[in-house]
Amino acid sequence: MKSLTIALKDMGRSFRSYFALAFMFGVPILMTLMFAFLFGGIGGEEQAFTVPVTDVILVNQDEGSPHLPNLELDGQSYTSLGAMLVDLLGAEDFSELMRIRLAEEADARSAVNAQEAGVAVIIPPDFTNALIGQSEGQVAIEFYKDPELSLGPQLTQSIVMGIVDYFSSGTISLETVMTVLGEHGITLSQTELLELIQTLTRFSEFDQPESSALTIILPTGPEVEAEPASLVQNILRGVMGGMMIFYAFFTGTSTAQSILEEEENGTLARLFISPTDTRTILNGKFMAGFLIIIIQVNVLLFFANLVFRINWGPLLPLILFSIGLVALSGTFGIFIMSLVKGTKQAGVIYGGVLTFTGMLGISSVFTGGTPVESLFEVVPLIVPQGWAMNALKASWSGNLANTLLYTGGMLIWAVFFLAIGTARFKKRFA
Amino acid sequence: MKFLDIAIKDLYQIFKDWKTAIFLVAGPIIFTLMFGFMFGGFGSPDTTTDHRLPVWVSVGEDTPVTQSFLAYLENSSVIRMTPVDPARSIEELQQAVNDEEAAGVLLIPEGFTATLIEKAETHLEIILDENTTTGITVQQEIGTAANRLQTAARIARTSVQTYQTFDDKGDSNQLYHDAFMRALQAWEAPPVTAIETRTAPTGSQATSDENAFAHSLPGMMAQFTIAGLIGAAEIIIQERKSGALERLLGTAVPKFSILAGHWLAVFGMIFLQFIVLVSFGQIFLRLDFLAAPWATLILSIASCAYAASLGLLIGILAKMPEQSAIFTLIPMFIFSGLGGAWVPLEFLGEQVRQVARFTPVYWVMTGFKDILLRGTTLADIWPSLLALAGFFVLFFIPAVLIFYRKRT
Repeated sequence: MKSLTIALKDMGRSFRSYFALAFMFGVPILMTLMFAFLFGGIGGEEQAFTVPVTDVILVNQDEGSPHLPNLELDGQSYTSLGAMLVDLLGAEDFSELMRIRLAEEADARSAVNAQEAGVAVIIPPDFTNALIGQSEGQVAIEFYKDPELSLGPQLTQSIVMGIVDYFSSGTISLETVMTVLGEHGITLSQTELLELIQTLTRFSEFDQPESSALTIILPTGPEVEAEPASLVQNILRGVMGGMMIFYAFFTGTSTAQSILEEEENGTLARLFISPTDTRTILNGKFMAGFLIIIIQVNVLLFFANLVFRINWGPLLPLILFSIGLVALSGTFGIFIMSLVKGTKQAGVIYGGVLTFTGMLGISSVFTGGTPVESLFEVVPLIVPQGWAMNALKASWSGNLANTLLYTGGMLIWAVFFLAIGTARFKKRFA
Repeated sequence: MKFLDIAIKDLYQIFKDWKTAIFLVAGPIIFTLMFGFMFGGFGSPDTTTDHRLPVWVSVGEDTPVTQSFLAYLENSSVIRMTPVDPARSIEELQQAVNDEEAAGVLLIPEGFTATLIEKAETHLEIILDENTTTGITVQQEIGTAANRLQTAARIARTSVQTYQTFDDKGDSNQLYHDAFMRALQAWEAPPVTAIETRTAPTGSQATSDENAFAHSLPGMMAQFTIAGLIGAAEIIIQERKSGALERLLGTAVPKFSILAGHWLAVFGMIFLQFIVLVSFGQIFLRLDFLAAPWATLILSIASCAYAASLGLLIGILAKMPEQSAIFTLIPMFIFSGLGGAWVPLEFLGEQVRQVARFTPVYWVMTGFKDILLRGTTLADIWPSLLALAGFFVLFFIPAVLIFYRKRT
């Protein structure tokens, strides 16, 4: 009972401290709110990842081709495929992705240099000739990009080259047909050839039936989310989970620090001369840490679910993860504080050890969907926070086996930290 | 000159613990590398490792068409195809994507070739998560390949139709196959390609060779500048807590010298951190800071000056050492997140981009990225210098006012 009394006293002290509350709840929620703001909204159906509108400058240098003096598309006539490309890019369909304007090459490059545009698309003079197989060598469209941007110019390039793909299919068709027919001893007259070019050009444009059908099957199993979460919710789940882990370790360390504070203030010495043994006092202190983290983790999980509509996945793996996190962050605090001499070293602990290990541990939140994603599933495991992050990810994916694996790892860390921490504190206060 | 003695004493206190120095340097370097690979995507400087996204393919039928399609996909610079046993169940494959063993699974169904030849249509299934950037990338890449395959089928059909207007008794199957294969090959070298260029640091317009670390290093320099303030601010707090400040105020040292000394110590610590990181970037990451040495130096000074003022303010505001952690981590996360240190601003909305301008991290990053990516010089980075000077004033003046008020 004495342990519980000490624990309740410490808890009361922590919950009266607005700094402790900021560590526990304020900062993780603030960070998630910030990311919600960054990615456009909190909760609701309207959440969506919006692709930025890119300022695109088109430089049409295409001189057309005497072999194809006139082209028609939807009743419009063009003198070159370059002009047709410009017109197509200016269509309403792309207005949410690109703001198009035309310029001369020098002006376009200057505008990109001055960050007034994200990309300049320079259509070469031989564009039409290349597309109808009348140019020697390969011709390239130049995408002169703002070096700071990647997504917008990349999307622009993807759209432009998608249209060029359709144009190119005319040439490829023509060359293929000509070659194959030639191999079968058939040579087309000039009139037949031009007729074929016209046909293939029209065919290569948008006169096609529904393009290739790709049926997307979601990777979620029946036990996982009933409704697929939006990209924003996935991002927020990662951020909130990461921040919860990051600050649970701060809480664990902060509550364990109270032992050192009491030692420095002399109140611990007073406790030791009371008819309470050292083990009971330390147990009370440790218990306070665990109880505070239990409250912190539960509040954050519920809050995130209610406010940000974050789906934490099936309950059983989540409970396992939560137990692991409480045990690990609580014992980590005991361990780390058993190593330091006094509260004067708090700066190194918070600024160095906790910030560094915490950021490394939750780094997989920020590397998702990148080529180093798999690497950052493993590297963070050198710090305890990494095990917690992997356990949480396995938990929300509904992967019970991996949750058990990582939670087991967390508990092994926890036993190690507790054994060392307790031994050192007992030796210190013996 | 008393302020110099105070600064030297502070610096001694900061660096006498080697762990501080390690964290000040190791943290930003590790995170620079991490974010560098992130931002670098598939064009990261490491060319020895295959960074392509692993995509499994379950082939329901083995025909020349499916073989050609797979051979075509193998040439992708974005995805790496790995065949899997077609007997594996959809649930197993879904789980593999869920567990991130594969970025996606392409399912080529039985009858795929027949549908393609008869209707010139491709019907494919892909297991992927559309809500992730990985999923979107895989979907785009396979979608483009499928479109090209479909076009090849249509070309083959057109070839046969054209041929039949001349000779309706020939071997149209062979002709179809020849035309199809030729068309597929032709897509590997289309008549019009794309070339990416950007402004090279020398001012010339060179073919793109993006260095992803030009994004990540300035971001991490700006972020860890703030992280390092925890330890620096603690020196000021401990001085006050231990009563050393009281004693110091009892001497002939002017108050402003005490403040200036502390400020200079924080500045010195961060400036040293900048020197190490800039050297690291120059030597190991091929980031040419020295292309504009004066711009790099002055921008570094401006960045350190604002951060030192923030550190001074935190040290004066915080009553306890752990409070300095809160006071430091909150602006660190806010400034770094909003300023673009974690997520490039182009991915964010217009509103966020406007808000970013009110964070010092944005201006530190803008200045350094201008030097590294655009080849700008000292004359061109004045907006960053001006903004950072503004932040210096914004943090320094309250620090002075609170310090004077507290002590009187």
